[in-house]
Amino acid sequence: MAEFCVDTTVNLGGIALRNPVLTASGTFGYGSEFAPFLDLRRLGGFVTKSLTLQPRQGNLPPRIAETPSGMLNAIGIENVGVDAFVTEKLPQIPEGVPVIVSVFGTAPEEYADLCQRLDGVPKVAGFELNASCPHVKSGGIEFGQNPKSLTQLVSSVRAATRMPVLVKLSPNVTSIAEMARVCEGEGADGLSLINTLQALDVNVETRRPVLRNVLGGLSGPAIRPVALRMVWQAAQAVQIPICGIGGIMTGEDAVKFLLCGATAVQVGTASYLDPTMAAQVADAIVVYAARHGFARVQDLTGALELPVR
Amino acid sequence: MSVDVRDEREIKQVQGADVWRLRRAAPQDLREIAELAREVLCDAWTLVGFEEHLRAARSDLWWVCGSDGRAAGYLAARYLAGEGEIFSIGVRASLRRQGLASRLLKALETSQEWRGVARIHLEVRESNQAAQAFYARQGFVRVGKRPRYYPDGEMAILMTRDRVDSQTSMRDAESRACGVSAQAVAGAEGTLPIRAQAEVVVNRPEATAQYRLRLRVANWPSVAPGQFVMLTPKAGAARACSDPLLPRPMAIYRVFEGETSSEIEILYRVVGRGTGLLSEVSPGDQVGLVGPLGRGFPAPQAGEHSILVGGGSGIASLYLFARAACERVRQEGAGRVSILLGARTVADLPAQSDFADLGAELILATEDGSVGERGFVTEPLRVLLEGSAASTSGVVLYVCGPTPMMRACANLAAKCERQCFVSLENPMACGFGVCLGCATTLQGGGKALVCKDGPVFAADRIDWENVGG
Ligand SMILES: Cc1cc2nc3c(=O)[nH]c(=O)nc-3n(C[C@H](O)[C@H](O)[C@H](O)COP(=O)(O)OP(=O)(O)OC[C@H]3O[C@@H](n4cnc5c(N)ncnc54)[C@H](O)[C@@H]3O)c2cc1C
Ligand SMILES: Cc1cc2nc3c(=O)[nH]c(=O)nc-3n(C[C@H](O)[C@H](O)[C@H](O)COP(=O)(O)O)c2cc1C
Ligand code: FES
Repeated sequence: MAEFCVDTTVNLGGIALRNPVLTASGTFGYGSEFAPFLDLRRLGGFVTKSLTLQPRQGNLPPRIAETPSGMLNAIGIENVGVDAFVTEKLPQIPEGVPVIVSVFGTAPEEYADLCQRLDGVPKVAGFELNASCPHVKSGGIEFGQNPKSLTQLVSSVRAATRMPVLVKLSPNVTSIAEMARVCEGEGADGLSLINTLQALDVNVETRRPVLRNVLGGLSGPAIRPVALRMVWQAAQAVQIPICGIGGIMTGEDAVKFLLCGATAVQVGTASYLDPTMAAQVADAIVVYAARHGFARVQDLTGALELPVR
Repeated sequence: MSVDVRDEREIKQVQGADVWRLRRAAPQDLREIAELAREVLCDAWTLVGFEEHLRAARSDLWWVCGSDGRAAGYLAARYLAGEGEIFSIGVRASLRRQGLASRLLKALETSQEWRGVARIHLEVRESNQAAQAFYARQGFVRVGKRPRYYPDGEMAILMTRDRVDSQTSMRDAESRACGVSAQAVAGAEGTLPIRAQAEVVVNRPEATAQYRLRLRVANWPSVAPGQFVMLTPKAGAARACSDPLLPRPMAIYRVFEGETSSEIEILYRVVGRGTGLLSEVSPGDQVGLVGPLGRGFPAPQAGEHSILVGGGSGIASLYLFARAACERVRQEGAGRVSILLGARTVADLPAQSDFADLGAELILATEDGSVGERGFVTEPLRVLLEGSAASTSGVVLYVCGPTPMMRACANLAAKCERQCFVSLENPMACGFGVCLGCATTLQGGGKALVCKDGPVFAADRIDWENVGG
C-alpha cells in the first residue's frame, strides 16, 4: 500500500467528523445491526432510523419494490420510539461514533420535544429533522414542501436545543434554494439532501400498484443526478454546510457531491448491497484526494471547475 | 537481562518454571495491568477503563505476567468481523527490546477469535516515534492522519496491516466447526453472519430455468437449516451496472465444509432480472454474499412425525432440515419423516434425487402428472394428515413454497390441529433487519421482519391476508 496522508476530517455544522461519510437514515437501522460486518468507527458517523415520540408499526406490506437502478419504499417510519432508542439501542453503539438522530413528527412541537429529550444524551452528536418523508399520512413532507411550515418547524427546534441541527429537505419541491434559505434563516446548522423522490410503479399482470401504500419514495443510483443538481443549487443559495445524499455507491459518486458543494455525504440504499459500502466509500475518497493532490478532504467541497463564460 | 516468555497455551505442563506467562487477562489481573499502563503511557486507561474494555463484546486483552503476578506488558484490542483494532500496547521500560510486544501481537493474531480478522487498524500519536517504528517493523503501513485527534490537540497517525495469510495455519483448520450437524438444528443461529466475496465454483443449469450454484467462501460460519444468504451477482469491480440493484435472498441448500473455506450450494429458479444475472456468472467470478441470515426451522421434537412440504423453488429451503430430521430419527430410533414435494412438472424438481437419497418417505406431485401424483401437493398432504389423525405423538408440518401453497398447508394443519411452520419468501432489500422492507403482518396487526424474525414462522401467527410475499 502506498503511503499517503490526507486529512479526512470535516466539520458538519458543528459536528466534528473523522471522515465525510455518514450513513443515511432508514438504511442503517440503529447502527448495531452492522456491527458483525463493520467497525462503525470507520465511518464519519451515522444517522439513525427516523424516531418518533411513540413507537410506530409502519405500513402494510408490500413495502418495497425494485425499479431500474433504484428501489421504491413506503415503510411508514416504523421505529422503536425515542425511549427504547435511548435505553436499548444507543448503549450498543461504541464510543467515538458520532450518532446523528433523525427525528420525525406530525407537529413542530413533537420535533422540538424529541430534540429536547435527546439533548445532552451521551453519543448523540446532533439531530437531523426529517422534514421530507414522502409516504406517511401526515407530517414530514408537509414541512419540507411549505416554506411557512418549514419556518415554524426549524424555529421551534432551534428554541429547544443548542445541539447541531441538520434539516433533511424534500426533493419534491419547485425551489430547493428557497427551502434552503428558510432553514438557514431560522438557524439550522446544516442541510441534508435529498430524501427519496415521490414515485409510483405498477404490476401490469395484477394491474395493481407494486406497493400497498400506492406511492413510495425512490432511492438509489437512479436519483443521483437529481440529487447532485439539488445539492448544487442549495450550495449556491446558503452558507451552512450540506450533507449530500442520493445513490452514492462509490468514492467517485461521493466526490461528485463534495465538488458540487457538499461538506459530507450519506450512503443509503447501497448499504443493502454490501454492509461495508460506506466505509469503502470513505477509503476511496482518500485515494481520490491523494491522487489529485488534495491534502485535505474538506478542500474538495465546492471545488467544481465551471466552464468560463 | 533476557526474558523467557512462554505462551500460556504452550506451557500448560511446564509447572514451576520461572517464566513470564503470556495469557488473556481476567478481571483480577486488571489492577496490575492498569498500574503498568500508567507507568508507561501518558494517556493510559485507568482501572475503570480496563474494566469497561474487558466487559465490552469482542474486546481482547493479553498480558505478560511474572511468577510474582507483576505485569511486564499488555495489549488491548478489539475485533469485529474482518477488522481488528489495537487500542494500546505497553511494555515495562526495563523489559523493552526483548520482543515482548511482538509476542503479544502474535498471541492475539493467532488466537481462535482473531482468525477471521483480515486487517488490523491502529492509531498512534505523531510524537510516539518508537511505537511507529515498532508497528512498521511488524508490517504496518501509514495510511492517513487525524489532526487534533487527541484531547491535547496532537495528531494521530493511522496505520494498518493486512493479515499475513500464512498465519491462518493448520491450527485453524482443526478448530473450525462449519457445515451442518444434528446439533446445528438447535442452535447455530447464534453465529454472526459474514460479508464476503464468494468465488463461483459451479453454476450449472439442471432443468428448464433451474440452476445449481456452488460458491466458495472463506471463514464460513455454521448454519442452521432454513437460513439464507443475500447474493449480489457480479459484485466488486466487475459489477459494471447498478441494474438490478439489490441483492437476492437465496436459501442455503447444502454446505460442503473444507479446511479453510467451505462451499455452499444454492438451487435457484430464473424468474426475473436478478436470477437472470445470477445465471450468467461463471466459475471464477465473484458473487457478493452476506449470511447466514435469519432464523431457521425449530428442531423437531423427539419421536415426532415431521412432514416437510416443499413447492417450486421453496424446496431448496427444506433440504438441510430434511437431512437433519432424518439423521435425528436414525440416531434416536424413533419418529418419522415424510417429504412431500410439488411442482408444475418433473423438470422443476431437480432436487428430488437429493431428497430421495435421504431414505425418508418421499411423495411427489406435479400439476401435469409428469411424475408422482397429478395435482397440487396439498392433496397427498391432506391424505397423510387424515391418516395420522389418530396419532398421539406429535405431527408437525414444515412448509416452504409459493404463498398460496403455504396458506393452504396452514389451513389444513389448523383443521387437523397440527402445528405448522412456514418459511416465508417476501421480497427483501437488505436481509439483515435494517430496511424494514420485508415486513409481514401478524395476527392482531403486529409486524415481523421476514429476514430477521423469520423466514420461518409458526403458521398460526401470520395474517395471511397481509403477508406481503
Ligand atoms: C428467504 C428466501 C429464500 C429464498 N430461497 C430461494 C431459493 O433457494 N431458490 C430460489 O430459486 N428462490 C429463492 N427465493 C426467491 C428468490 O429470492 C426470488 O425468486 C428472486 O429474488 C427473484 O429475483 P429476480 O430479480 O430474478 O426476479 P424479479 O425481477 O425481482 O421478479 C420476477 C418475478 O419473480 C417474482 N418474485 C420476486 N421476488 C420473489 C420472491 N421473493 N419470491 C417469489 N417470487 C418472487 C416476482 O413477483 C416476479 O413475478 C428465496 C426468497 C427468500 C425471501
Ligand atoms: C427503505 C428506506 C427507508 C428510509 N427511511 C428513512 C427515514 O426513516 N428517514 C429519512 O430521513 N430518510 C429515510 N430514507 C431515505 C434515505 O435516508 C435517503 O435519503 C434516500 O434513500 C436517498 O439516498 P440513497 O439513494 O443513497 O438511498 C429511507 C430510504 C429507504 C430506501
Ligand atoms: S430485508 Fe431489510 S429488513 Fe428484512
